[in-house]
Amino acid sequence: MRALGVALLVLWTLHTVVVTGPLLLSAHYADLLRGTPQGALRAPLGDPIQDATPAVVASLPAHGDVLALVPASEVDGFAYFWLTYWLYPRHVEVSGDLDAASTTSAPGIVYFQRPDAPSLNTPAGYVLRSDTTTAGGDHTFVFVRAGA
Amino acid sequence: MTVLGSGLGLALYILLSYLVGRLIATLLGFHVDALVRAGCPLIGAAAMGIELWIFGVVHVPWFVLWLVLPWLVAAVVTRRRTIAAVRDEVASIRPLLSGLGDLDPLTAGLVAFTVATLGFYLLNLLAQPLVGWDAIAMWLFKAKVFFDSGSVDLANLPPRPISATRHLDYPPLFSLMVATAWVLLSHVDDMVGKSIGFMFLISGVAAVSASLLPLLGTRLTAMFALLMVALPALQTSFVLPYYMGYADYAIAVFMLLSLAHLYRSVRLGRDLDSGLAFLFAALAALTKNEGLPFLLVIAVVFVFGAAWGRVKERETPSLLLVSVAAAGLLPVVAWQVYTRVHGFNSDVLSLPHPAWTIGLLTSRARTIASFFFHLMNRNDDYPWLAAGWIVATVLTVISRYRRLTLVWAALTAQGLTYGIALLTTPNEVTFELNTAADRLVLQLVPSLLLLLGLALRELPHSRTAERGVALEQAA
Repeated sequence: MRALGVALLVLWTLHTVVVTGPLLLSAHYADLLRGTPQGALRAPLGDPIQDATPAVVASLPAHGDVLALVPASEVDGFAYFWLTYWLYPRHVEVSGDLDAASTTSAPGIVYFQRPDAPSLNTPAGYVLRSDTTTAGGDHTFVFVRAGA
Repeated sequence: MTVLGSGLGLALYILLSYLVGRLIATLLGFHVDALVRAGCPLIGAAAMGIELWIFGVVHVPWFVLWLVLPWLVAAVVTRRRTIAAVRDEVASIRPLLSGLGDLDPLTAGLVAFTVATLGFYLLNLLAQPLVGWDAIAMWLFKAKVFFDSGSVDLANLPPRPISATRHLDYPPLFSLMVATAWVLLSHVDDMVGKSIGFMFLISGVAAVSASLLPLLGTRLTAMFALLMVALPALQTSFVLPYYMGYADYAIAVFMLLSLAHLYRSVRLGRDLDSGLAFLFAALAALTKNEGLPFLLVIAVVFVFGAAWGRVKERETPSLLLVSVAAAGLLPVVAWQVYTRVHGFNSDVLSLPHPAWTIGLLTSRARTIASFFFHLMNRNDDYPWLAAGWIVATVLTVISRYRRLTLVWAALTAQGLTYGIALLTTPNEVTFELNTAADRLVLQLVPSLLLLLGLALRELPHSRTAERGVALEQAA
């Protein structure tokens, strides 16, 4: 029985080398070392939220609430977790309703606009802090309360 | 931060964790061998995490100076023992290096493949962006909350949408470890935070190697070390970091270390191993709630063992054992009390659930069995894992080392717990299987490898087994 166990171990090891070996051989180590891996993983988010996040973080006031207007399909998804992590310690409310921009008291508003989505005029009492456009035609608008 | 910078930050954290863990082992008078060394980084990391927890309670700021100062003071106060420990560490390196030079080509190839895979994982961890669902939603988010507030306090988080759950009830240890790394660096570093699982990988490989080398020899141990690193089931933690789950590998290694010390405890009867078996089980329970039944199993084993020793040999557990067990249990109890006081607790049994009729349980059992049966068709580990458990079980049954049965029973009991949880979940069982089955299996894989290795030791009349027992007892 022990011989069977050793045989299992040997075959299992061989199988693992065969399955895992190609991963090691096909990796682009130079890109990994540079921190720009080929086929970099994407978050389970629609565009443009992930790509625009660093600019949004830099544009918003460091503290206070943020109203994030996202496509309706993102409201019950990963967007809430994504934005609350990267925007922490700001408190984030995620909504798919553009009308929320006119009723919010949050010092910051972020609108992730897809090319086919309606426009949002600068809400009363706010100023446009940044407008980022991607190659795909997505816009990310950051509005902050005037005087913030 | 660049890959190199984050790598250096991670290395600093792992090194400091090892030094703190090694210091703790020295202060407690442990005999430090390879298996104890394997667990030192995790003991040190857990100790520093709990240290920050205490700092939060007594309002000591989370600065790197305050973090390391108590350990520096302890090292200086006990400098004779500290210096002896340093000499011991240096002396342990030479045999290790000379042993590498004596490897035959096949074993050297296995070791080289293992090391190359480790390097590949490390690069991936440090280069791939932070996008993992549970990392973002739970583990690193809580680490940010802890780091920003300088305390383990989740009570002031804003009201969340009903549809969003952050599992605030999950124990804080993993997030505290991430926060500790950030305190050491004095800033949030997402790459370092998402890469601390690498420390668990190193400890896990070292623990398997330390446990099996005296029993199986170099070549077979090298195979187990390779499996421990390169199994596709384990790669999800290091190559595909966007999947759900993040602390599953951490709890897997804590359970592995607990069982490794449990085996040594029942083989050699040492309080050191008993204490560490319980400590690592407690740390598993402080990492994820799945660790709670595991801790209960280990506790039952030791309570029974203590009662048996009292009745048969009038022995009482040593003060060291009781102290280590109490020290491990206290934070587990503290967290459970905290979640209940603040209403975070997730008592699954009290949630609304379908009536547990025979029909429902039978239907769910068929669904679960069908799900895992289809996994056997995948070109990865599941058929091998099933075969490994079957072979380990048969070898355990026919083994003359009856006490191996305890390790088998603890591991199997944990697996059965997961099965019962799936049968009785208040959620849709298909959803649970699709999102959790892989991770539950991952939690058991390192311990299964250990069990298979322990079961493969030769029958006691062979020279290898006799040499292995002699090595254990000499240690």
